[in-house]
Amino acid sequence: MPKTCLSIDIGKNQTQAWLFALKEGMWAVEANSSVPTVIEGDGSQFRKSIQTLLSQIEQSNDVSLLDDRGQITDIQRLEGAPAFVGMSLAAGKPIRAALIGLSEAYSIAPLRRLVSLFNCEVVLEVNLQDNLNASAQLERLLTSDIELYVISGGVNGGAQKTLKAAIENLRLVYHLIPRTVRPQIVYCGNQDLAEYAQSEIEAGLDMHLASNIQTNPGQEDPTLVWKAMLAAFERLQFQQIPGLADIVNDLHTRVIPSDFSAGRMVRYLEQSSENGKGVLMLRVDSDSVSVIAARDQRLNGINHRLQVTDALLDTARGLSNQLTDVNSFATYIYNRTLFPDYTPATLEDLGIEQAWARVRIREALNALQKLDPHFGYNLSLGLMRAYEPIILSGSEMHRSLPHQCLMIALDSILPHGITTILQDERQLLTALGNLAPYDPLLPVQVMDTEVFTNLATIITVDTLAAEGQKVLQIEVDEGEQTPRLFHKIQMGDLKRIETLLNGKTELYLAPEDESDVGMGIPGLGGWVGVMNSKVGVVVDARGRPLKLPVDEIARAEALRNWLWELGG
Amino acid sequence: MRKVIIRSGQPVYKQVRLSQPGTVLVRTGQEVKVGDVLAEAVIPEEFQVFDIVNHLKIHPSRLDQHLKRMNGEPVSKGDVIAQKPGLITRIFRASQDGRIVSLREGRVTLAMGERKLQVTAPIAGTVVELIPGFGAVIGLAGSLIQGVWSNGLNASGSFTRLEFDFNDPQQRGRLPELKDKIVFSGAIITFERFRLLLAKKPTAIVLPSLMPALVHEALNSTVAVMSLNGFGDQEIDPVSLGLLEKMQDQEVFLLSDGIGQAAELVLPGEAGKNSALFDEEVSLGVGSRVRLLGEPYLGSTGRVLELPEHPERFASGLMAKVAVVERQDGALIRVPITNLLLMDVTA
Repeated sequence: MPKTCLSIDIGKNQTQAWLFALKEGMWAVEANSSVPTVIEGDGSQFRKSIQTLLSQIEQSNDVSLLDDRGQITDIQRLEGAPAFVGMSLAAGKPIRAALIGLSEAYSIAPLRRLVSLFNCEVVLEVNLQDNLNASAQLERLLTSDIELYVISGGVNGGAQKTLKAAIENLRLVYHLIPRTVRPQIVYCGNQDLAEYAQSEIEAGLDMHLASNIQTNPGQEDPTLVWKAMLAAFERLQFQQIPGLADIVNDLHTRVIPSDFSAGRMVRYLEQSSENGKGVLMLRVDSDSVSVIAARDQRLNGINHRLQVTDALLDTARGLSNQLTDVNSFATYIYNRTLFPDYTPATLEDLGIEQAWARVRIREALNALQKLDPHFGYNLSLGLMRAYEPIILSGSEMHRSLPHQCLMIALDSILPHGITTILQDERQLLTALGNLAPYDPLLPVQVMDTEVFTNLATIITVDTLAAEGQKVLQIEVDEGEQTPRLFHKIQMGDLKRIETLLNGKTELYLAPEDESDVGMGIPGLGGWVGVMNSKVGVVVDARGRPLKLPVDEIARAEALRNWLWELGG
Repeated sequence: MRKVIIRSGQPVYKQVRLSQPGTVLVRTGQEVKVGDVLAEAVIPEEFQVFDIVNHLKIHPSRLDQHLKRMNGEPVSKGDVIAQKPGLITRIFRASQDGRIVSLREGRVTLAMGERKLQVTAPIAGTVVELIPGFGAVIGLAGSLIQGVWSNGLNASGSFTRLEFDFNDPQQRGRLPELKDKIVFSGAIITFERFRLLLAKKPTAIVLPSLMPALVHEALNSTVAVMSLNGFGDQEIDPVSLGLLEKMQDQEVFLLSDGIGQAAELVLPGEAGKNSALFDEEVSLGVGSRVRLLGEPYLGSTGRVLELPEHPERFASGLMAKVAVVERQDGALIRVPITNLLLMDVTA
């Protein structure tokens, strides 16, 4: 019996499990199964759903996950059980968080970035420099039904008075107001006050101390607070999801946020990459978009839920490749919020769905930009900084055809230069992130087996040339047996070049003097080797910002033509 | 799979709970009327934090000498809490009745006043379950129509189905009195018509579907608004219509699950033969009644004839598991299962 390990992700709609096995010294995916997520009720249905999931995995594999009666039990007592189990969670409501800090730039902004990876919704920010008197500050802390307080501020050895007053208020908030959910408190400020905060607030296991998030004036290191945040996250989820604590105990695991788990792998990919670029992951689900970006050793992420507004509906309608009247478009989107699992069966439905996905991704990227000014995204100009690969996942991407998926990503991300777009069809980033702490070799070996689908290589031409003007010449070398192909790219073109099924396709890029293809300076070209991908090489010379015809009919036709060019 | 119940003689359970722990004031088996308080929590109305050391200019080591009250003690308005004698005596008095909740680091915190958070019964019935510390579940039997969207408000009133032709110029300005009624209209309700209805001061407006342009208006309305099918221009199904006719001129309750959430219309009455203690869970199968969620059949209903095992490809190019549905007009269509809403209806 090979050594195995199990990863479980409790997603918003589906709960998935992956079994990995170690064969001949190499870890590989052995099985994958899913069931609908059920977290409502007294916990019995939740336990039953996890039981069903484990039973599905057990049936077709050489592993023990349930007892003789098919029930979840202490997994370590089973013979042939996985060596370790990892678990992540995206289901349930976001955690209502309050951020308390000494200044906007050095405390509050870093805290926003910190909590965004932990499925939090910031409902209150208290800037201690706002000169609120103690009573007013206390009133603010009491007004919102907060589940997580994160307090930061000051440099180690720095001034203490303001922070001390805030700590005293937190003590009152924690003890005076009865709560449905016992709030958790994470302290990551001036370390001279850490012990004081712990003894003053007297919150026992609900208090989580961490190193100062501000390592030096103006420098932050959120990784120092991750452990405390994970502990707070787990304790809150145990209170909110009946039955979760028992399952976590039986499986001898910990539960972490799904985005944080995927973030671990995105961070690993960035650190192990030698191209000097960042790594970006987009998970597009029916009701939210998660964006996780690693760059320059920094990891930031956001889970963005978009509220429907008339302005956004108008923007989305302008990105649909079908002609749909205003009312029908809005009707579809509003009904979609009620029935998020709806399958677009007609071309018109699909056009609306994909246009709305573009808007949701754009808004999510923009939200991350607001959170992290170094991210490099601009709503009209696109992703200005280099990220490679860009990994797409999530239910919305999974059900689209490869070229449709690529088109949605291309129109919303609007990348610059050269990049590769991958698809994580089996949501393995989260699965691997859950297991990375137990065996760091596992994710490395699994990812080496090319578990992601290579969707396309994107070459974007940045130029000020006029529509129809030649901006780039491409020479395609498919080997000595095949004559070389030449493609002339004009401003406004979106061109697909197929890649060789086996081996590398070599492209020589010869941009015009004013054209920048991401080789460093405008006019500079060179050879680019690309591996086979589902869609191929896509040359995007449509310009940034994307210029769409004003006329509705012409605009829809342009969008259809671009989609057709990528695959029909 | 999401479903709606549209039945008479149906057991109805409504959970009512506080947002924070308090005291439950009812017991199991107790009959409650509309408006009866089921649970309450008492919290301070406001807090006052006073820095004695800095305001009274007292040395921290001498704080105890100047404090007149202890932590946890109740105080009345005007009571002296700290006093520094001298040429000019400095005094800190309680501004309201309350209690000292903290005395630390030279700061005193007073909790003043009382604020009661209460939850009341939105409908008459029997308390069938207690939620310790939070509230109770009220049970009753009656006719039930579940809708998929509401603006979060509960309401009750005499139910009236509005037979009014908004397009008829002869009827202009003759909208009947709707004050304190729950009104249902099957007409397309535009922004202007919605305003006309609101002006008649009904307690609730129930529509087969809500036009998207009205969402904002409905959410900001002080009148309860409920949509049975969702959004757009959808017609009401015959089963719901039949039950609504039974509700005419009867006292009906609209119970909402929250802003943007589902809601139900309840006509209290006799328990039917289906009101078993543990109803059998209805699931999608051959013969199931369903509502179609997408164009071109949005809002129409039918019966499932077949559930093919293998997924099928649709015009959009997407693959999905399907149901073969016979619509009411007899047409057979193949629809993704995800695009169906299961209707648990009176047979």
